Amino acid sequence: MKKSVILLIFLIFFVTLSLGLFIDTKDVDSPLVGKPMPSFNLEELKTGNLVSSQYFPKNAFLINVWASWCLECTREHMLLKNIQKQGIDIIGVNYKDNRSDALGWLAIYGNPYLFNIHDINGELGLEMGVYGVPETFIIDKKGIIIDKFIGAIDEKIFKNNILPKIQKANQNKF
Amino acid sequence: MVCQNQNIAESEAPLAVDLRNKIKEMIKDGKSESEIKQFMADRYSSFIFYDPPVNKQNIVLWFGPLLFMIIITFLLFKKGVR
Repeated sequence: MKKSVILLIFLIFFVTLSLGLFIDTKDVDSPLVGKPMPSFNLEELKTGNLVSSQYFPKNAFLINVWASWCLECTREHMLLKNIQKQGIDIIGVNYKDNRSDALGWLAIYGNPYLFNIHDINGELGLEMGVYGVPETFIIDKKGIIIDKFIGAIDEKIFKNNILPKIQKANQNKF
Repeated sequence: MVCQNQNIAESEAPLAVDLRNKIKEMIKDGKSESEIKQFMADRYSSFIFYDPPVNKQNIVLWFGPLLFMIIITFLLFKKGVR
């Protein structure tokens, strides 16, 4: 068999597998993209008042699923605070967490959230297809899920992926 | 994501426990197997299935290695015995 043929086959294999190295594993193909955020009727973390999607902002915003027991969540928290300072609303889903633990965590690390949905049993998380924490969803002004990220987001993901999508969603007339 | 290769009957991961409970609830409500699978796939994509289906997204993964082996075998034996 010609050496050049063997080389070609291995080259194709190598290129195919290498491309896999550049796939952003945090930006997942969720079947919920394009669908509305699932409805919920849960307590707000701090006040205990019932909240639902009618409290969502009228501009594109982020939903961040987090918990006080989640180490990864501390890694993205500074970034979330910066995002909020830039005028982008972030609503928290406090996932399978104890209320006082969660409030204590926010007191230590800071609170960038417009409000927090206390998903104490993880039932909202299940409706959202949450695998674990943290996860971040981009929601448009109509309450439709535009995109989802698993794992802690970083500056690069925010600047190159999240921010453009939020800006685009806010430009849409509908 | 924890314990990706365990089925939820065996896994003690918190999510597996939640999914087991949800399925139990749905069975009690009289939902069929396909309805339950659809419910899960609608939220988690078919990635959640222990036996993933063959679809156009993963067909390369299913048949790629086999195809590769067939091509290599063919090329190796093409020259044949003289």
